[in-house]
Amino acid sequence: MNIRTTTLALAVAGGLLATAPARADEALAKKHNCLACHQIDKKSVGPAYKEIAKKYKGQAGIEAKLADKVKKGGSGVWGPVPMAPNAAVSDADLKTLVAWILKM
Amino acid sequence: MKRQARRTLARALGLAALPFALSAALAQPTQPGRAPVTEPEIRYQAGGSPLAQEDMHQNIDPKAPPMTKAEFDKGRQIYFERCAGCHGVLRKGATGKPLTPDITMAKGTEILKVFIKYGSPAGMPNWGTSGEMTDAEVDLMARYIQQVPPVPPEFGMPQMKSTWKVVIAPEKRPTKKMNNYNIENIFSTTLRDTGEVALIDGDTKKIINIVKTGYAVHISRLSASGRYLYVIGRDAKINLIDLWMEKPDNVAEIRVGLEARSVDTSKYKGYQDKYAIAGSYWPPQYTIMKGDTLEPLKIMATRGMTVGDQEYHPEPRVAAIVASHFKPEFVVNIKETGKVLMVNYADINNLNVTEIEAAKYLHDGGFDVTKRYFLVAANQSNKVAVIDVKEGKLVKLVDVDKIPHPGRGANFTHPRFGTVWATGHLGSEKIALIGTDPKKKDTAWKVVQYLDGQGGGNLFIKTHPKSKNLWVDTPLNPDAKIAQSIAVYDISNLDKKPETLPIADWANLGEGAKRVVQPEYNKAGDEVWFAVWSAKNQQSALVVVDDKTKKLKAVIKDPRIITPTGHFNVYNTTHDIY
Repeated sequence: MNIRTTTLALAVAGGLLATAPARADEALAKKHNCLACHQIDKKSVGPAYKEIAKKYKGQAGIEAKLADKVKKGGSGVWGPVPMAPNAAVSDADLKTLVAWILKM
Repeated sequence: MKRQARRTLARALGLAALPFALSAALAQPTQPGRAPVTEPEIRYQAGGSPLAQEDMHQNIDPKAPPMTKAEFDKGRQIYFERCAGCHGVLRKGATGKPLTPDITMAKGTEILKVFIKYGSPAGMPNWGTSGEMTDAEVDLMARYIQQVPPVPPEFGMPQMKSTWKVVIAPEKRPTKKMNNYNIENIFSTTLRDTGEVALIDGDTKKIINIVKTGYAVHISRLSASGRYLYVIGRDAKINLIDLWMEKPDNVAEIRVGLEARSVDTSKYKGYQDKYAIAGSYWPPQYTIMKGDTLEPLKIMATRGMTVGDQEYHPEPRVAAIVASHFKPEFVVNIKETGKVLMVNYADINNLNVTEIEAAKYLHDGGFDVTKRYFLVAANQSNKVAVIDVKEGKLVKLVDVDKIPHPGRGANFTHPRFGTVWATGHLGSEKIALIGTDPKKKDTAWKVVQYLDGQGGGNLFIKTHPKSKNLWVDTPLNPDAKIAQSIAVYDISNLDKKPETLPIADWANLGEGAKRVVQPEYNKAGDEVWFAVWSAKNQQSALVVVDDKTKKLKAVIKDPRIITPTGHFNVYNTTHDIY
């Protein structure tokens, strides 16, 4: 095996590693019904995840604030349509989902 | 007795709600970036269903949010008045998404409330913010749709027989015409909210009789001879009216289900006046009857697999039915499965049905000028399916604009493209002209031209072989000015803008919704009749316009003309002239 094919193989493997968790997070979002109202790059009933990421990315302490918002619901920031509270989602799942959204 | 009282009350409530619903819809501001669904579509699809008043079987799911019986009954009432039109009786989905408990319970009450109150970009109306449901009702409906859908009763031969009445037996009826009316120029006008039709003499413009029928008669159809008139109400009640009687009136009646829309009669040579057929929404079935008595002979279920994805559908509703002139066949269009059934009535005990794959959700349509091709709107696919009724096969699926609603469409000869069939749209202002001459390879079964109409919310479009005008209504448009006027195109110069005629103003009625509905020609093809449809407690009228001059010819007003909607000329309906 020469060096070039090895690098290619590594790059392919790396790509797979990067996308696999994203898919797992999306499945988690689906499981908790987030996708009933949100889409990744289009406004639906709620704002697009990419818009959320653009608005909040880099702000200090935002992860905890957003996790709290998902849990309790809210309204007013993106228009009059409220977000329903999601009290049943575990803290660990909340953390994963918020991190996934902010990475977009 | 008690049940009757409840039914009347519910009906009164439903009627009272209608003008309010309209004014609320008018007042509602447009939300930017919301709902591609238009007001006309909401008004059309979210019309009430007579099933709201039926007793239904109900299973209990202990996992669903709790509801009292009173809450459940109220939820069911609202569901059948507002939701069933799109989501279906069993909530399996049609033009709206499926709402079975596996789906709704997974979403949960809070999310469902958001959808019901605010609507969605996929087309769900915003029932809460439009003012039509209170927060308490939104909460009630969010819980209601997590319950197991209640199932209305079936309606087979014993039920039909128990509703079947022959008022005057065939042998006791006249053997020749006993009146002096010009029968071919009689108009049968639906009086929607009173459950009647008005028979109007087209020559004198006088009312001949007001005949008791089912509720909100959907259409009137004629037997091949033109003697018998069949009308079907939304409550699936059919009335048979004999136009030969001294005073034309009911001679038979039957119910073919709990909700229905379509009826027609055998037109093929040798079978004139022999059979009638009716299609039901609930139960999903069609019924073949004896033409002169309505005796039910054969009931066929339409439950089965859908076109394309081939999944089972439990309630495929029967949409338009027409009678072939080429074979002893009825053309039966099934909404949810997207199939056209060619039902051969030559031997109804050994029934031969050809199933043609078209597209979902078939609605209404009409023949081309040769009557060989039937063009039917698949309204949620934004297509028109062309069926060759002589060969019994699909010719083409033609792409058109958003939610085509042809009624029966309109046939004329286009100065550049030859024979065309035209349809308007509920969801847009466009009028699509489709080439219908199969010899013209580059225009056949293609949209050859779009005309710009006044706006969405068109229901009917009409011309006549003797006319150079194309008349287009827009009764479901939210703009009162548009809903109360008619656009007229000059067929010899279709690039010219249409004239708009303020038909409702001409009726001079005072306050009211005054929607102008359904252009319909007289037999001679020199007059166009319109219904000016107001609320039940307001004055309505029929307006007759001279086709050539486009000037007012007559206004027909009478205290008995309450909520007129569709109207059908005997000769043009008998001979499929449109």
